[in-house]
Amino acid sequence: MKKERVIIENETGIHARPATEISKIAMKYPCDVFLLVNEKKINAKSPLMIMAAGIKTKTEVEILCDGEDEDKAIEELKNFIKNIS
Amino acid sequence: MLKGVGISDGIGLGKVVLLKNEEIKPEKVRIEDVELEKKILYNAIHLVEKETEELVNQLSGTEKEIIQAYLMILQDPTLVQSSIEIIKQEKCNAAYATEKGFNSIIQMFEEMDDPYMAARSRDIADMKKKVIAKILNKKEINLAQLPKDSILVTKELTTSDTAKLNLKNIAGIVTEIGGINSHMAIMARTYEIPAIVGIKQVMQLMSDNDFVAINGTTGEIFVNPSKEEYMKLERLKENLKLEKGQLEKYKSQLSVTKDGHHVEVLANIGNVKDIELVINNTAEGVRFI
Repeated sequence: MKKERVIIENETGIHARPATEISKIAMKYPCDVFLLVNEKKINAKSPLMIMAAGIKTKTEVEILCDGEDEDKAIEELKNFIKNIS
Repeated sequence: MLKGVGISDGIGLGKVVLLKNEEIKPEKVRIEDVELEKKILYNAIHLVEKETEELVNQLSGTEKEIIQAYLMILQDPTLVQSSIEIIKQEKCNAAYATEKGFNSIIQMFEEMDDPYMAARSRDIADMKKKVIAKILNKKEINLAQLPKDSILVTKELTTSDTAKLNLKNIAGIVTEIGGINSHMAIMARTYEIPAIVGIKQVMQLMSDNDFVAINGTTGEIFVNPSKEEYMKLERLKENLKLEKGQLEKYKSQLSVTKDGHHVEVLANIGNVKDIELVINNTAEGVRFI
């Protein structure tokens, strides 16, 4: 299992568009992908659940990838989430 | 005169088109065949997905992205799963399970303290309505072919309905439900279509082909106005046009305060195609949210 912490820098947090982008990336990989936010564990393959988490700017998010291609998945997600603008 | 809340400026003059979208409240029916109801639900969702995909193909720019995001939410397994669980646990019909399952997610969004996210709950309510309509085999009106200068009057103009509209034919929008952050409001402002929300029982207050004059700035609506009222609004419409024309001359000037402080004026764009609007309106740059 791989873990990475990132801080959301985007002013408006994770809104509809970035939420769907994150789940699009997560769905490309066979491994399980979760986001840990405010002690909640969210399935990152569900745009609905990411949106419902209401992730605001400056929030710390931990990305968890577990399974096949976990290295690639975490790398791509980390880069995407860091650079949401 | 009726008074609501103006959410998109301007004067609209035209004829009423009532868009009747009655809310269907499915009854709970006990069933034996859980697999059959699951199949009915998946089938209905699949049909709505297919229609939405067709819509995506016809759209471009920001609208296309919005409907694509809408499609992804519709395809989110979490959404269907909530209804599937209800079919299994309560041994009930697919229509009722959709109502209850989608409602639990709608509620989750409504309770969020972020007004933008709270507004997304209406998108999910829109999907729920479409899925239930498919399960119960109900037909919908063709929104792409409304007559010119239509004032669209409806309880709520949903995201997917807004995307289907031929906006060139819409002179104004009046609804009972809707907020400043709804997709309808955003599109109305982008396309400079006057819009008013918050008119209670709006469907009972107007009839098809009533002539109406609306003021999207003040929220005023005149149904079958007198000649004086009509003339007044028509003049106002002309004046707004003139005013806008006069503002054009500032477009090319730098935005500097009296004490010489330069304030950057940027545009929020949806995609590369919007660059044309940015250049025409001489914004100094763009931001992408």
